[in-house]
Amino acid sequence: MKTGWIKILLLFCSLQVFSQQLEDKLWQAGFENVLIQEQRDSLNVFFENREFRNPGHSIYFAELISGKETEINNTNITWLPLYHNKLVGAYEASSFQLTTISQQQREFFNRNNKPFKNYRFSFRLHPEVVSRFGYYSDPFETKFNMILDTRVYLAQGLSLQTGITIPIVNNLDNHGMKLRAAPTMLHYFTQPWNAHFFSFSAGTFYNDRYGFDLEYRYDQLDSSWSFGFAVGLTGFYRLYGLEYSSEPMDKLYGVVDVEWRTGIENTSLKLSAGQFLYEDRGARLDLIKQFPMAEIGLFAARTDIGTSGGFQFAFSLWPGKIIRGKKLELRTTEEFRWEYTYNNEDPVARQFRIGMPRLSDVLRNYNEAWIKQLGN
Amino acid sequence: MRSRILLFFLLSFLAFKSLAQVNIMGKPGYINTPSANWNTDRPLGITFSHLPGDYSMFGNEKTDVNFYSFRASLTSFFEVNLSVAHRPAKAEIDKLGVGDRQLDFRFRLSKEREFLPAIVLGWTPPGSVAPYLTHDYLLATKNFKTNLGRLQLTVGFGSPYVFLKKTGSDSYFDLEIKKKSQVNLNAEYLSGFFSAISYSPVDFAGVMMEYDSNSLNGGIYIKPFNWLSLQAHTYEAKAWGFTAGLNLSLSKSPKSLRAYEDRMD
Repeated sequence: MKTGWIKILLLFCSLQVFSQQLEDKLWQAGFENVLIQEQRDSLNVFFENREFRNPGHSIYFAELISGKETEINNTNITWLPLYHNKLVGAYEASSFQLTTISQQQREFFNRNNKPFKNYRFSFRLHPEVVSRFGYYSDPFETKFNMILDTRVYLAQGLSLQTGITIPIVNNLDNHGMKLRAAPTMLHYFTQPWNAHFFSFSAGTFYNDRYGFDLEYRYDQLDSSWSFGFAVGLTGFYRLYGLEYSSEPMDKLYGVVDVEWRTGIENTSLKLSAGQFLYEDRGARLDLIKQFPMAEIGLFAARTDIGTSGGFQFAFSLWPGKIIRGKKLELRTTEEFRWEYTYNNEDPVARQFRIGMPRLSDVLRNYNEAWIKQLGN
Repeated sequence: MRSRILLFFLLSFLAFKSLAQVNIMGKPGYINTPSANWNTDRPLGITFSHLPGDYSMFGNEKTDVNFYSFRASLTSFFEVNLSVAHRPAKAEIDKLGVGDRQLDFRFRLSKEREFLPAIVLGWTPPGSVAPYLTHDYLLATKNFKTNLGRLQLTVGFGSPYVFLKKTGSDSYFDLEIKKKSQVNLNAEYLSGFFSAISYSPVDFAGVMMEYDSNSLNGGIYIKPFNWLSLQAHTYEAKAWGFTAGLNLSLSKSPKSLRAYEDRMD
């Protein structure tokens, strides 16, 4: 009887030591907001990793770090990766099985989450490339800026993104070469009920737009179907150094979409329809392939304005981490996304970029099938 | 005796490494002709190619062409290619005008098996007003691994017809079908039978010869690294061109994760 109690006590102590060590190791490896909920024979590990584009990689990384430390292999770990200071999903260690986020886990997170204190000041380098190919006089017309920006969490799920834009090359338009403020916006991301995701942004965006943007997505993360909508009211703006010019915020867009994971070699099909930017009504079909290092998509679109097709790709920029201290970090962007449109005259089915990837692009990487693939 | 030699060829197969040579438009292939090889491990290709004016495919205007091409193998049976053709001399004369871009797809209908060749279908979506580079083809490629190196044979047929978008028409679907030889573009890339052969005594280098349905061409290639292939070729021994292709893997983990894994080992 007595030895039984001692065993339990020892187990409990070693679990505590283990989780403290794990927390430190993860923080040093670049993870942020690492919270560990200890239960009788299991651990719930919450973390955010802003360096990697794929949560599959950060979960696998966390698992490598934990595995090295411990002999307590019968401890069940559940990984709860955060995105923008919010819970997205819960994945069991080693099997990478998706489990429902429990009320207990939510409450623990709400109690212990410290949006400001648990994060580093993270600065990120992010190139912005706008180009048009195909004109004989100058086949590669390009506007290339380097953006140094940061995201600061103000409250749970609420963040401010801001930075500066450093123009490097511009033979595309008359935007000039003056240093200017990078897209600056308030952003709120949340999952009030499991599988229902919302993302709201207000401020200045990419592609010379400013205004409001709201996205909703229903995604169970272990299903091959997901759907959502996006609406926004925006206008054109440009900064020339400190000078500002803008048009009224009167362009409304609203697009619904449904996405299906085909089950064939990590490809997905996505059909979007509605009113795109510039009050352009029509539909767009995307074929998206996920690679561990990148996402490559093909699309075709037909709208009032015309017909187009093209491709897009997204990848993390090398090298990732540049400098990392206790409270400060400089890194390259976790996701650089670029789209090429075959129709270089008319803006067919055009969208604009907000400060974070669109919800469908974020959640695609949290799909259980994909997480499992990256973990193995 | 002949059947024995054949048997010897057939029995001396080994697992083939990814075969990274690309043609002028960045597809797996030789000089102008494509092959049915599939670069599964390296799904992303970026290729630069310089063509001499006389053999530039832009029949009417014989000026040098630089091709910038991108290839993405989205699945093990579906691939997309985009090429942008830059003609420096033409750029000087005409200050404006949409350039020549070529978007096309490749479908692998069957993988290479012990006794069967790989079969690929190539298709250019119609819709261009000036489809100089359009090519629709069906081809088969077979590799033979011998003690003296690898021999690769390709035979294919390119459609002699082309879809033209009617000039001035707004509709994407307002197309007419014409024989390539009757279109005044004077461009007949891969129109009719074509074939190619390459011989690689070592993994990293080889020679090749092709008939691209218009001319007989020959060249050499080297692969100093797995991700880089360089080649020089000649068209009918009259003019020269060269191609450099990067073929990249997309399955690596992020750098810091890899560094950690390396430390663990």
